[in-house]
Amino acid sequence: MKQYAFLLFIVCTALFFFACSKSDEYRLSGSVFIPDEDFPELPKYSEWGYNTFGAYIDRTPFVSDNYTMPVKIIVESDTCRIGFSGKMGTLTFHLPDFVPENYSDLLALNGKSYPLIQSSCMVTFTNNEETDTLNITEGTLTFKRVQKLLVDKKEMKSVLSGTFSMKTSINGEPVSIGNGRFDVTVGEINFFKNE
Amino acid sequence: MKTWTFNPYLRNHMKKLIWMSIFSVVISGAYAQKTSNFKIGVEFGQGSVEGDYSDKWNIRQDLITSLYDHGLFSSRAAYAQSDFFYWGIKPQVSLWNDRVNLYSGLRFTMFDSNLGDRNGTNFFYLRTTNPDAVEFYKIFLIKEETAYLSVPLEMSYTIFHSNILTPNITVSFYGKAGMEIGLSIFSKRNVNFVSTTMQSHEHEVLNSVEQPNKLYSTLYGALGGQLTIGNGIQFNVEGIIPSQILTKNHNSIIEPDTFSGVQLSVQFPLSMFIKNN
Repeated sequence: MKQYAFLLFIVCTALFFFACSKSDEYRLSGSVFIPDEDFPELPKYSEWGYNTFGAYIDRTPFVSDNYTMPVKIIVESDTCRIGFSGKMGTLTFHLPDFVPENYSDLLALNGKSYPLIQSSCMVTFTNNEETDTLNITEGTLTFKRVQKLLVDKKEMKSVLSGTFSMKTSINGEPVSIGNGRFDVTVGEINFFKNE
Repeated sequence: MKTWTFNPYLRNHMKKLIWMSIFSVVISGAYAQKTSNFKIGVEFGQGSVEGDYSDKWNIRQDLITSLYDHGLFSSRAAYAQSDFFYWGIKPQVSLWNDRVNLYSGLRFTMFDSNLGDRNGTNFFYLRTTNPDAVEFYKIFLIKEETAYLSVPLEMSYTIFHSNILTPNITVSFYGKAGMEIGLSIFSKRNVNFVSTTMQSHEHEVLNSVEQPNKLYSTLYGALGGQLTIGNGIQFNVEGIIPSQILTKNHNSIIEPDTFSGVQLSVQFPLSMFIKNN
């Protein structure tokens, strides 16, 4: 009987810690929108893992919302796709020759800058299930800081913070995507590797 | 915990204030002419400070969801709460047929402030000293206790008085304005981590935010009622209307907007203790 009681205690303790860790995961996946002082429709640039991004497509704000996963990382055999999703659609950056094994490997992007006019660095915009490959005439994607996210010394996620801007055309219309900034967390739930 | 010593300049400043208040009460008393116009009493009050938690604490602001203009959310669920109580001795001089009253004395005020989470769980505190990671500590509560010794100066004006109950009992209502200036005599802070193994980082968290200001000053108003019985003893109940803390950083937990509360006091005529010949 004592053995069963001990086993029950172990199971309950394990469930308690599992629940705590799940709760942390859930809370750290939430978005925290702190308005930018100069551009209040966009989130302020931060490096805390606030799960927000934003940019102006001409004068229209394209921002993360509270219901859509703000970022998904999809790794294929020779490319890493970073897709930022908001109400208006999904803006995806295709980084060539970068094949991380897991979300911790994203730290290799720290401080890197990608000129978007290179033909190998493709950018697509998906709206209403239609995907356009953007013809970029000018633009840069910069990962200002890529860091681990630790909670009580335990690694939980990776935090990607940076900026982007570009000139392109959508549906044949020239547009400017400017003041882009992102501060997103990547963990088990939004890191996908296609074998 | 850092040990505090009084700055000699502040100590001299405090001495001057105490002497000035005693001197002003004595001079007013001389004008009051009658010993019965001089009273001494005790006061007790309590209240709370309204405000948001101080941005000096690096707290992840992600705890409560609320709709924002564009369907986004931005409200903070970490909260700061600051309550206080005080007691003091309170000499009083009555002028102009008890219509105007001047008060001073010495007051001990204790603030009890907490920084916690509205959901009853923990908040995430950013450790700023790690340049290579976004590192959070899970914290239940940051607590601060601060005590001040202050000298209040108050003036009340009786708006209405009447012997409405019996000839020996006077009921009156008054408005009061006051200010106080004081010095911190005690301050203590502590952090409750979720994990007991993280408790060793308490000093690191506390040292990231400076200690509260040693100087403390308020400006306040109150509305009150007074009951004076036959032998001159007065019972006062007053509500402190939302008022201002004048000194910055009197508290490291909360950024105060206003404070309010209630005060009870009993005043005894000095003639009860000193016989006039």
